[in-house]
Amino acid sequence: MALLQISEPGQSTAPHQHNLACGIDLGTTNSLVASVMSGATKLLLDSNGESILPSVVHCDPQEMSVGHEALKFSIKDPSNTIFSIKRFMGISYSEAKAIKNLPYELVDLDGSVGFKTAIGILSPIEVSASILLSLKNRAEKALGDKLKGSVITVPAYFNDAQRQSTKDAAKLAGINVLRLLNEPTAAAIAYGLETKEEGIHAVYDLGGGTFDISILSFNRGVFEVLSTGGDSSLGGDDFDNLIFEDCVKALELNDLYASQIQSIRQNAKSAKEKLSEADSAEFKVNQKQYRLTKSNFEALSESLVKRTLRITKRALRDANVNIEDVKEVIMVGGSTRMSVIRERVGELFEKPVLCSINPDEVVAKGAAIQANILAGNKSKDDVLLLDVLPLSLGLETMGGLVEKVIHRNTTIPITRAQEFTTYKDGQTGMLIHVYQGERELTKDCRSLGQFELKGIPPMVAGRARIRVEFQVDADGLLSVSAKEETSGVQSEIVIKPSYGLSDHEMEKMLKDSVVFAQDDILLRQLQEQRVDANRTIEAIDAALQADQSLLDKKMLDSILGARETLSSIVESEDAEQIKEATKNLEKVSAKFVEMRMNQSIMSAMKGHSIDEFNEQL
Amino acid sequence: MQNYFELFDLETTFFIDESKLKESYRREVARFHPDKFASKSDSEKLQALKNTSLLNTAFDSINSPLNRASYLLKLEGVEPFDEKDTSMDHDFLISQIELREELESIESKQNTDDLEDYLEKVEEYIQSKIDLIAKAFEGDTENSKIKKDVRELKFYEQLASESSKLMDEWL
Repeated sequence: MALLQISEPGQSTAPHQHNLACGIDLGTTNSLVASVMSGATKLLLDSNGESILPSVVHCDPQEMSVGHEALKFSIKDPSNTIFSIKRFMGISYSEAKAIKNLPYELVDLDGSVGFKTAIGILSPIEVSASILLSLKNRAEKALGDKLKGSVITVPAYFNDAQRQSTKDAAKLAGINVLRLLNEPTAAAIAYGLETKEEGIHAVYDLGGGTFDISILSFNRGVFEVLSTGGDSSLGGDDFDNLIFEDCVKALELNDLYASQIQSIRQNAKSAKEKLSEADSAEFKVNQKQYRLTKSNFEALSESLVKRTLRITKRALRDANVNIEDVKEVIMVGGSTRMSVIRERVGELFEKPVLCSINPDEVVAKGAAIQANILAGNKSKDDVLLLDVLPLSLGLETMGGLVEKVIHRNTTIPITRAQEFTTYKDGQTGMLIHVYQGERELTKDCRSLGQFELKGIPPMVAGRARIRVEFQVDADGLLSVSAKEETSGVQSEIVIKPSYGLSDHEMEKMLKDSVVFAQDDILLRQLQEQRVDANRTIEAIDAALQADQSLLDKKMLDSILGARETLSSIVESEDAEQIKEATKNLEKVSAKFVEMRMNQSIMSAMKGHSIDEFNEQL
Repeated sequence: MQNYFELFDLETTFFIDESKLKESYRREVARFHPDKFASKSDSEKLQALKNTSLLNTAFDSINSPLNRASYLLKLEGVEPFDEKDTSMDHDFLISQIELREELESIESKQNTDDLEDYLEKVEEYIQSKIDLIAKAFEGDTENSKIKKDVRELKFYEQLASESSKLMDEWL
């Protein structure tokens, strides 16, 4: 086919210029940040030389602390020391209430969950944001300048609400999110680029609070996820909890204080870790001795282990892959250190599992590699990731049933439309309720949000044609639009599922939040505005360099003028003015961008507009 | 009218080289994937999203034999899964009812081995239907006949996916 040439992103960037970017592994138990520096992927260390930041936040009116500092308060001040915040992301109050043995006071915030702490009520988004802020500050200190953007990893099995909450937390922390990347996929990139292995691989990722299994094929720089499965509330914490409960039962403990709960929990965790090496572990509670043997622990954890294996088999079936086709099984996540896990996964795949890579670090490193590419830096490896939707998306039809619009394991990004009609004469509105999950009934799926399509012209039942379009982007995030298509009458609405924050809510949260009381919001907004402005200027420069010939003099002059205005004030102190000038440049060049895009699509789609194809869906 | 086969530089036929399709898909998606536009303007990102969505839909529509056959019929103006058309061959329906009953009985006994044999049997039915459809496309068979086989293939695929679901629940 005759093709027009399109320059690679980053090609227009001057060779000496390096856009700072990092990859963040926001884990249930621990978090890490990594970056690609002069071609090498490195973990970024804190001032004490530590790479791991415990995902713990201590809420104190005097001083908020994060990480190792916060950890010190876990026994002293358990109700204000928040652990495992990832488990609370994007879940409802009632779901949070179901998590066992928590030392915190949970609050119902309009159906979503909040924590009552000494500094006020905090949402999981705020707590997560404070961890992300700490990592961002660490990265900027280590790299010596402001970050252009970051890739943040999420469990592959995270649903839309959990992804959206993670992205909101990052925005709240002032991070420009280049991409949400699935953790097993991140691990696969880091591993695949290092070993140059090709073929089908399985990534078994058991972290502190989440389990993922992904089946991928590596092929000349293309990392293609064939299927994914998991459980976003199954992880190392649950194994700790089994020991916790066994201990409470064995020692006949009751009426425990928050600090006792926390202390038994930590002992349980250490015992679990010890059992990967030793045949038994023991600890004391209230002068009473508790002992657990390896075989007892394996018996306790049997149902959890089996569950992960069952999910793994399903993923293999979804990928249409036989066990003998899997070349290597990559183990990721701290919980894969448990010997029982390694043995049982090895048995299933009929080969020893691969543990030579550090299961704690590989996700952050993979994210850093992807961040480096997305930031537009030249990379020695040409990498393309093709990921999938982890859970089916659909909407409610009559009788509490879910009609699937996009099935799980569909490659993203993807757009799918479905047509519906009215069921009463003269019906002028329609409630569209969006769900995610595999089950058939709405009550067994996760509600993502609802919206009403109004202004349908009154017609006989069954005559209206309502086209509902689902669009899932490369982050796995959904937006929905609906359109009434009969006889020229159209109304359209675009929604974000209900868990996401609007720009307005985001701003309010940023201003009001106690978490960021010590952070200079104004300065941050100014910096963010500058980054945004520079990004726009760079994009325009690159576009002009490639396709200036498309423009007449008048258009060129107005673009150059707007560019000049913006570049002359970008270093000023007036965030509002920079914002205006950026918007103006976007506005005057919109037509140009469209012309360029049309040109490139025409070449790919052979002279046909994208809408012509969409008609065929 | 352009179609999905042409988008991937393939002939519009049931008999495509699947590895060529895959190769062509990878080449096109590498040019348009949103990751290649991450540091570009919002409008460029949106366009990349739309282009890649289209490529993904196109690939999905012609990759599996069932989808490919249905798409070819649609190109000929035949809608294989028209909701208003519920007519099915009588003998086929009887055989489906028997297969369903067999699955129910396996379900009540919770026998994994039986279910595995059953799945294998359904897979065989699927393969022979695909062979039949291929033959039909090879000869100049009427679309209505192909449509009948495509519809029946979908029944078998449905059965296979339900039995695998059952297998998941037991494992």
